[in-house]
Amino acid sequence: MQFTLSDEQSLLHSSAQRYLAQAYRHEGGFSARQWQAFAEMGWLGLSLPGDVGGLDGSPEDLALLHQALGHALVREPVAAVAVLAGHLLSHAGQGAQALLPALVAGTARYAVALPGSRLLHGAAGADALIVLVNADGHDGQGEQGIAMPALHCVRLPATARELTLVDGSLACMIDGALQPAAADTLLCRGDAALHAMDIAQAWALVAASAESLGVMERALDATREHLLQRQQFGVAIASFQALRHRLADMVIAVEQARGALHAALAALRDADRPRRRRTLALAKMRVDTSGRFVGAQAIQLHGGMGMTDECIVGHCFKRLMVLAQ
Amino acid sequence: MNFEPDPGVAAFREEVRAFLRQQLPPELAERARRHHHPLKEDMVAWTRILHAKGWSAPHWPAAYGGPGWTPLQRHLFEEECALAGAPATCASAFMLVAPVIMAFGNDEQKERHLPPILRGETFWGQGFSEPGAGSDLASLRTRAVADGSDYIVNGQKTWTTEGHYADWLFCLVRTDAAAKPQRGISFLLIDARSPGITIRPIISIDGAHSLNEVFFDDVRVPQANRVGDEGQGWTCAKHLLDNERAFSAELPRNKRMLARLQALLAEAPALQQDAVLMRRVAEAEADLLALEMLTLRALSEHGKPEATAWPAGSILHVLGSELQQKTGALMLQALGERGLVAPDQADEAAAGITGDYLYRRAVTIYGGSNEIQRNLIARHALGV
Repeated sequence: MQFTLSDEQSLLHSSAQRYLAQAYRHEGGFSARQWQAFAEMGWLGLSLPGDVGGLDGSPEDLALLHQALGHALVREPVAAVAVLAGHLLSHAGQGAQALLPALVAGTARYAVALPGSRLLHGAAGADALIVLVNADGHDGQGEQGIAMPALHCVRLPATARELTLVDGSLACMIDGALQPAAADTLLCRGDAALHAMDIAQAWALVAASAESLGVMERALDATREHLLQRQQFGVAIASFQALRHRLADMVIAVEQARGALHAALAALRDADRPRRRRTLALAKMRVDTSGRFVGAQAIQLHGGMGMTDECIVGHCFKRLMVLAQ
Repeated sequence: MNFEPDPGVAAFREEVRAFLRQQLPPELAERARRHHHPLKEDMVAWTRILHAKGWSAPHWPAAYGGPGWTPLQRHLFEEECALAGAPATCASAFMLVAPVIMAFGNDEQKERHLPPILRGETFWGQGFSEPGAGSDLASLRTRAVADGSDYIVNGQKTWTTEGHYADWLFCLVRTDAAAKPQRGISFLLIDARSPGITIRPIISIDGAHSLNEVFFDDVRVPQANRVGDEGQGWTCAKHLLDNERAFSAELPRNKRMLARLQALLAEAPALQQDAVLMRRVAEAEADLLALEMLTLRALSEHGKPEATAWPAGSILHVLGSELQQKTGALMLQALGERGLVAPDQADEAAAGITGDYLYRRAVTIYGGSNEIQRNLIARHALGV
């Protein structure tokens, strides 16, 4: 277990942060231009296998990229498409893997329809959806009335509505559960389908947690600066102990989120599947608790200005809301 | 950065567990479970067992009798001991005064005091806080006036944990009343049996006696018992208080408390139907997960530049102390009305829990209150 970044990791994180600070701007809910730039820098395939055009990056490498994406409040659905759909496809058989080179190259986008969810992140403008049906089923061979879990690749329903979320990102709302028609592609079934979904969700959880951490760091930095700059009653408000203690609580919450992210990264290596799922769920819960607190207190400590669209902290708060889903 | 598991960790844990299985007397572990303050004879007995193995001072350099472990191994050892229910050893001796003697003491002081501590032969108490000097420790007033080759000490110390067990006290005393507060303080080792010392119990809210007031009435102490130079006491104290930041999290105790909470829940299926309780338990587990990773990170940064990037000692102190209180409250909730019974009359399964819950209100107060810790965290973040 090693906490210090390798030289390559330092370079990955700093170059991502530098690119985003200089070249990234919000352009509506999705910028094709930015997406292409991400593809060219290898970000979409960072953690995907080399044989589909990816970079075979480690979970830690992925976390560092997403931390930078979070810090820059990137709206484009890198986690939903490159990580969740990407890892799902990479574990769902040859037919699925054949779709990956285009995803990595940024020329095709896929989104995952998670069981029970009608709001699909990354689905706006997607080429297809990947849906898991009969998730509660099992790999029974020919048992009557027991449906087997299966991953299908389906077209977006005509009734799907593209929506803008609170953070400015795009998603699609579908009316009901997707039932693959005969013409839609079966990717894999049974335990392989469940296993693929399990792994993909684990990677996506790590990406979302890392992104949240980056957003929190942005909010904390902004808040620190504000406290030092803002003067009231003839002094910088950074001199008021109540505000200093609130800032301290934000610092503590950010470090808790970092610790939870590290726990999630460690858990990815746990071969005991139920224990891994539980640890990941606990880690995400801790990250999200920190996110709600840091986002809220960042607004609070900015006073009235924190309530404006112009101020960055409201955007941090809203991005953290979306990442907590 | 990578979170692949360390193969050496599991092997070391097993080595420690094997030792505990063979050498930790079950009755010692049972008494440690029932009494939230360890008994002196148990602490001494356990220290002697550890010393026979060469493990009584895991945090000491090998030159002074430590086993030569890395910070991670020391942490793993403490964790396994806590999970097995081993009693503590004398922290005031091993963790507080010994590092000061090693860093600032002369050879005579080292030879006189360190080996008996190592062997479990001497017990120490801390004389720092005073009724008028808590968070503002530098305002302390216990006075040491030179008289020939001795000092005459007058004053009062408070909150001396296990002072009634102590053979020796280490005290911060004022040797120069004219200097700025920090500069007039010296570090003095005082034989607890010196004439003029009165040790008075303080009964705490858990109904137990672990804390003491210590009164000094014209106590004669050789100047040779001063560690470091006159006026260097504050520097010695900071060295003592700045010890390994990772241990501020009290992770071993936190892990043991969560394990006990889980054991209580396992025995009470009805409680597991309480969704609100189970949610709060999950939150405590999540907090512990994060705390463990932060502790391991602090350990890995020992002595490196990354250590200054975050105020780890303060953050871990706040998180570790508040988690102990939350976990204790959950155990109390799990006990229901049985948790209201006075500690000395608690039943078998509840033994130690209520008393510990009451005593743990101190964990956010001692070692630098959490309010002071938040001041330090804010200063680190703001640079002012």
